[in-house]
Amino acid sequence: MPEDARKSFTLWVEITEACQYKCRFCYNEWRSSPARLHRSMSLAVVPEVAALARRLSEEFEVSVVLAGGDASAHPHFVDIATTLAASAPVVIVTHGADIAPAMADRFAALGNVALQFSVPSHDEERYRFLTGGGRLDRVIEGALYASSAAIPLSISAVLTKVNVDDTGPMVHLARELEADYVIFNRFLPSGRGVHYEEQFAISQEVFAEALDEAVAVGRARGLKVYASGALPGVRNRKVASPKMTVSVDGKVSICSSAASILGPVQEDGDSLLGKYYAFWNSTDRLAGCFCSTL
Amino acid sequence: MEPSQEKLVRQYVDRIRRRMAEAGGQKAPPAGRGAASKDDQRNPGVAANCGACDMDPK
Repeated sequence: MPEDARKSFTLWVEITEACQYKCRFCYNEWRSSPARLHRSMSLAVVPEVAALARRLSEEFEVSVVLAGGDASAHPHFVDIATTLAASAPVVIVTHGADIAPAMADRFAALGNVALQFSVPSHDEERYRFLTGGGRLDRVIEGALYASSAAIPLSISAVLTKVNVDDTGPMVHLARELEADYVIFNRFLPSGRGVHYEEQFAISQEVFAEALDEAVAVGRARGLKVYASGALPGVRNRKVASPKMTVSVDGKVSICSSAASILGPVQEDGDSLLGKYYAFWNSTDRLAGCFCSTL
Repeated sequence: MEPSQEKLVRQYVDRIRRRMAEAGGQKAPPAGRGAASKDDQRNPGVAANCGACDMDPK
């Protein structure tokens, strides 16, 4: 297969369940448990993740996404990013408030590390409310450090009733921060979000209207806008970008659902990939999985 | 006439940019009602199963 014809594949790595933030819309189920119970990935597992990334890279254009929790809440997240970046391009998903100049310089030196900031509003008060007390100015600082170090940056935002009118200004903010693109995700009542379903949930129609606004502004300003969530025309299908998730305890799954575990990351890459293909070639649905039941 | 959303966003980012320049590129420590809970401050991401932390406590 020609190199440029390879399909993209995301290896989503949850390096920690911890997060410095308390986002009200957070979909992680473990956010409901006390912080002292949150686990982080052992450094002993990281080379195994790197090996899986290299195996997947034989067939796909792989990007390794460091997530959580918040990736920056792992005490060794810079070292983990450095190790994995030797095997595949790395995207670090974070609130962004802890990105400091020296850290940005170190990522920039690796040459294949990008940052994705979760920024649910351009408005300080709404940002503070949605993130449970976070400071938007610190996130902007982190983004400016990243852009001054020439690190590729993207912005993501979960859309709720509270910030659904913010998509236009959010696109302006992303452009001001020199982000490459913005992703809007529809709020899912999962994890901490179950407590805010009535307050946050938006209809498909409202989500679509907000996206229209974002796309219009994005087109006018030359910024790409992406969306995830239930979209017209893709219901009743198992739709997902090619992806595997590695949990903090080294279990590889198709998504973060415990129902979709393929095996431990130490397992041979051929075996994991074989099971991955077997799932997508079957008609099975995953119990409790949003993607396969929408 | 009210300034456009685009202009307001730009002014906000410029204000932070100027503040950073005045501070000489140093990032301010978290202040006020920061994001971390008391639980998270006690346990900043260090997990029981993270052997590396036992080797290199920080």
